[in-house]
Amino acid sequence: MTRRSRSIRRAGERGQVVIMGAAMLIAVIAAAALAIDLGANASVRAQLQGVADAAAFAGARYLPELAASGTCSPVPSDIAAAAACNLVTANLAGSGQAASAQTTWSVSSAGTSIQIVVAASAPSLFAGVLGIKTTRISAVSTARNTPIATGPPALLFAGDAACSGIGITIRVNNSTATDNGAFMQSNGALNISLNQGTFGPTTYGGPNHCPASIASTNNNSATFNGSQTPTFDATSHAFPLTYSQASICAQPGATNGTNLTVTSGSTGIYCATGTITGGGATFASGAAGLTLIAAQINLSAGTITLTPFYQGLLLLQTGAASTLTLGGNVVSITGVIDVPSGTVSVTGANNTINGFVEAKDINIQGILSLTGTGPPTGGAQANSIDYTQ
Amino acid sequence: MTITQARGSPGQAVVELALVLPIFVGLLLAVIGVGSFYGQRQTLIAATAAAARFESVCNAATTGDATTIGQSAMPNITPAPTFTYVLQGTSTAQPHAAGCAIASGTAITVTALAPNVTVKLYAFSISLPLTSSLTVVEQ
Repeated sequence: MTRRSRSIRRAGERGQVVIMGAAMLIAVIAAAALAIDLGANASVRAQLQGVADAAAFAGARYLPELAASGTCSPVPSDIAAAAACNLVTANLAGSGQAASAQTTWSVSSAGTSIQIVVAASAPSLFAGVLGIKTTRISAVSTARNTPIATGPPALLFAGDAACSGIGITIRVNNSTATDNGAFMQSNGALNISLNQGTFGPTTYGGPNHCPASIASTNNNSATFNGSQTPTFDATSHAFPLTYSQASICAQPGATNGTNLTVTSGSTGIYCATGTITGGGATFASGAAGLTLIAAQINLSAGTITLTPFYQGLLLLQTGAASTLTLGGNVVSITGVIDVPSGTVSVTGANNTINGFVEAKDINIQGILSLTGTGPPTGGAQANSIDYTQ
Repeated sequence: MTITQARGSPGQAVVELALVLPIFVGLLLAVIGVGSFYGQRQTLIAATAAAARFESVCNAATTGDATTIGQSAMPNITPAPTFTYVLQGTSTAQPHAAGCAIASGTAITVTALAPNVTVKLYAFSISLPLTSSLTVVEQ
């Protein structure tokens, strides 16, 4: 009886090994498939990460700019994002991920970093048997652009190398002036006349070896970084900052026209191929700031108060041999004024300039309160671009 | 009869194991081989990125060269991969060494080629070429 029952039990176990073997084989093959698919996915992820890193790095060149975000399809008008998106497209062209790739970008609220997210589908070699045809893989990279301060911030830059030009002229007769240690640089003439002046590092002369004229009234003096005389510099320096009118005026929300009239309280970007005119008893930018770009900018008001809207840029006057005049009783400016081919003339009775003025020639008169915020000494702004993750 | 079958089972298991074990071991080694291949591919991608990054930030103060940096990032791949560079549409095998001056905004495509990457599949192995390419922009 015992032998018979054992015999029956062994007979019932027949085929059990086959089932177990089949199950084990499926498990092993599934594990192998998983390992191979994971390896393939990791390889795709590494590729996407390299693409995202390169794209973020390329976009960071154009920072800082306004905070924004979007996708790369269609190519965005944002210049930093466009540079990044174009590089993603170039790197994925011809790869297996090109068709399924989706790229998003975002510029941080501070405007100094850009994040790129590249997502694509990787086909499954074996996991497709289990119904997983593709795996969605994404890579994230953020790059930031940080200016490296190598000296005091610049206040004034005059590119005119002609000794007969205005260069940098500051006339504050019978009064005092200070620029809070900021940097002034003229490729040519330097003319200063005041009661007492305290300035930061100041260079003049340029390739034509133009003289400096330092005149102080009431037997007081002017000092430049603690010295009685400014520093001669024979080098003709390039403008520290350059702006692309086309890219700025293509920003979302920018107002473009031939001739524009801007009223007090306006905000945003205004671009004119001709003239921008603003005025009244008081002319002030709106709370969010104002950026004006035109061949000629005419602002005339008793009180002028301006703050920038786009990338710290306040006024960009592109016309040749043009003069940008800021006159009135009180002129208070924060931001960058750029007149690469003309003259900036600030003739208010009381002037507060907190920013950076670069022009062919600069003429400032009246009582002054000056604070530089431009690129550091030497006019060369070194940038550090690196990954933040 | 039944007793005879029961006594024969251990021998049968050995035979089944002998049949199945090579398949399992083969599968295992194949997985390892393929995994190693993907590992080398990732190494090549990382090395390409390293060389490309060097090219991207190359300036007068830079020391070293992109090919050396790329090859040092994958010491386990033999023979050492070659690097080629496409700059402004012109292909060259010469990396940009110390003191290079590439105009900002220039697109540079770095391509790494490992001609013989071995994939071991159990009793035999095959050699495959591996390439990785990355385009960067000069800062």
